[in-house]
Order: sequence, then C-alpha cells, then structure tokens
Amino acid sequence: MLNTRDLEQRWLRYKIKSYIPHFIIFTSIIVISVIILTFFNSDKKYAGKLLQKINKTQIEAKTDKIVITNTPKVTLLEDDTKVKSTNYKETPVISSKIQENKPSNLGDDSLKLAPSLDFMKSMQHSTLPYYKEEPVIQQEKALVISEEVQELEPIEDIQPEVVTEEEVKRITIKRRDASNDIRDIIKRFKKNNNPALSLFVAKKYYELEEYHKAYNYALITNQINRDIDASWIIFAKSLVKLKQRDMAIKTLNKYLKSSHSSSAKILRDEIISGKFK
Amino acid sequence: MKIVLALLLVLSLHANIKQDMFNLYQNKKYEKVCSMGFDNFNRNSKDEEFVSLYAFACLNSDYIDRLAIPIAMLKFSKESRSNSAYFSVILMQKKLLYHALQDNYNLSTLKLPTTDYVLSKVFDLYSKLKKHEPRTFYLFEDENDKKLTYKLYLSKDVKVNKMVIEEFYDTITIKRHVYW
Repeated sequence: MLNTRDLEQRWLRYKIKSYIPHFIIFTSIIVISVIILTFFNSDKKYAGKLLQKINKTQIEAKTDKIVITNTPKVTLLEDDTKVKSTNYKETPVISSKIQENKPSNLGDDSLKLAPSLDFMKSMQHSTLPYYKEEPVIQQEKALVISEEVQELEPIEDIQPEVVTEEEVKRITIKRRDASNDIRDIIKRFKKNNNPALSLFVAKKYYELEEYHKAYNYALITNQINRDIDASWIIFAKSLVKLKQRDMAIKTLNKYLKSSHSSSAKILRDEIISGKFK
Repeated sequence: MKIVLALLLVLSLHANIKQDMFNLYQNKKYEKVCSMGFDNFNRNSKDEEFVSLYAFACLNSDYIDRLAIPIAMLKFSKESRSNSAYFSVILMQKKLLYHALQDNYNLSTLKLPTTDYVLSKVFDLYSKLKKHEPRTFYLFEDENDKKLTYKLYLSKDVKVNKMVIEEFYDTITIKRHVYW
C-alpha cells in the first residue's frame, strides 16, 4: 500500500525547494533595484543642486558675454568705415615721454613670462663627459712618448751630449702633439662653441708661451661665459706677458667687482707688486 | 636580431639629430635648427627636449607660426608647460598685433601677460596707444634703454602684407624681424 500522506508531504517539500531559487533571485532583484533607485535619487538631488549652480553661473556669464560680444562688434563696424576711407596720416614719432602721459597700467601690472632653458643644461651635461675624456687621453699619449725616450737612454752610452739631444727631441715631440691636439680641440670648439674647450686651448697656448693666441682664446671664453675664473686669470697673465700690465690690472679690477675671486685678487696683487712678470 | 639592430640604428639616428640640432643652436644657427626640427618632428614629437629646442630655434628665427604645434605638445613636465605658455603668449600677441595693424583693431582694452621677446615689447608699446587712425609706421622708444628704438610697419606684398619690426640702436639697424 502506498502511504499517500507521506508522499504528499514529500511532494510539497519538493515543490517548496524548487521555488526557493526563484524566490532568492526575485528578492535580490528587488533589493538591487531599491539600492539603485536610492542612488539615482541622491544623484538627482545633487544634479538638481548643480543645475541650480550652473543656472546661476550662466546668468552671470550671460551678462559678461553681453559686454564681451558688444565690444568687437562696435570696433569692427568702425574698422570698416576707416579702412574704406584709408586716411593714412603721416606718423608722428611715439616717444616714451608721450606714452608716459597717457594712462597705462599695462606695463606695471601685467605678468611677465620667462622662457625656461633648463632642458638645454641637461642636454649640455650629457655631452660634457665626451670632452672631459679628451685631455686624459692626451696625457696618456704624452706619457707613452716619454717612456719610450726613457727606454732609449740606457741602451746608448752615457754621454752628456747625447742626453741633451734626446731632451731636445723630447721637447719637439711634445710640441708637435700639443699642436695637433690643439688643432683637434679648435675644430671641436668651432662645432660646439663649448667654453671648456676654448679655455683648454687658451691654457695650452699659455703653456707653449704663445701668449697672443692664449689671450685670444681666453677672450673668446670670457665672451661665451663670464663666470669662469680660470679664463680671466689666463687672460690677465697673457696680457702681462704681452707687456700690457696696466690693461691686465684694469680687467682684473673689473672682474673682481662682479666675482670677488680670491685667485684673481692674488694675481692682481702679484702683478701690482711686480712678483708676476 | 635584425629588429634589435634596426632599433639601435633608429635610436642612434634620433640621438644624432638632437645632438646636431643642439650644437647648431649653440652656434646660433637657429633657422637651420628650426628647419631640421620641422623635417624630423614626427619622429621625435614625444621627446619634449627636442620639441622645446625646435620651438626656441623657430622663435629665434622669427617662424612664430611654427610654435603652434609645440604649444600643443609641451605639457608633460613643469618646464615644458611654462615654455608652452611663453610661446602661446608670443603667438597670440603676434596675431593680435597683425590684426590691429591690418584692420585697425583696438588693443588698448586688452591686458595680456608679457615676455622678454621683441614682439612682446612692441605689442606692449602699441597697446598703450589709445584708439587711433592707422599710420604708415610707428616708432617706439624702449622703456629701459632710450637709445633702443623699434619701428613697426606693414610691408605691402602681392600675397600677404607682412608685419615688420626693425630694431635701431642709435639710428643704426640692429635686427629686422618679419612676421606674417
């Protein structure tokens, strides 16, 4: 015999269970919709406030626009009439004195914009190591030559006359290298206009006792960059060597007014006292 | 491997162009730098140093209209933004001054920022004049240096009238700037 009551109860439970997911979905939809609606309502309230604000600003802007749009229209109409007439007057010279009489607040109050060229400094710094390496290489070259000469000395007999010849040769070799290096650096300087290179050339020429050239390159360096201490010193030293002592003192005095460099002061004092000739 | 080599080649070419432009700029060959920048602009448009260098070269060679694109491109660093503002003021002043000279537009009501560039100086001096009838040329004295004067006039041309600013120092012409 079938137990119908039990079966009915089981069927009911089964039915209820089958409806549970539908119920959950339905309730969740309701909850979500309620949440969304509340959010929308709050947005609408905020939007309403915003609209009110915008309306206010629009009203203000409208008044501004009236002022702005009116002015060009008037000027354009006047322009047309004047262009047609083309009454070009012979122009009087407008001096600053005349301008001063006129009411002008533009120059005093207006903001002044300045260009920013720091990016060029970073670009220049990226190129500097290439030039810094050059003098080191030259020193190495010079050292190699001197070593070779030194090696030759013990092979030959110890004779004072021969040693002096070698010394003379050594000097000539150094000079040739220096002149070649200077030529290369001058070429590079003409390309780059780098004050470090022209200063190096000036120093080299001073060392080689070519004071006129040293003076010229120091002058060029000063024209490019006025703040390099060493170039002013080379400039003044080469002037003294060119028998322009007074000129050297004058230039150092001028430089000292702007820089207060201690080395320049010492050099000036030495030139005045006659220690440096 | 080929792609890597190609990339390296492209990078080296890019660096060379920028470096060459910088060297030329230091030698004051602004017009050449401006034309080089113009030719290679598309390849280097994201490099702000390149764009700034190009813009300054064009500014110094009086190609003011070429500043329009750098003005739009320079925006990622503080320095480039300030340069962009600087260029935009000059470009605007050029356009307004040209409009004023050509169509007798009244500039006296305007209040704009100024710069150290010659066009800005002349713009400031011109805008100080009240509404007036057109003149064949204007002579302005520099506010800081009385020996320095600027002559502003329109030079008639078949296609477009050109705006000319001549700088005089003790009646000797130093520089002539032509804009259109």
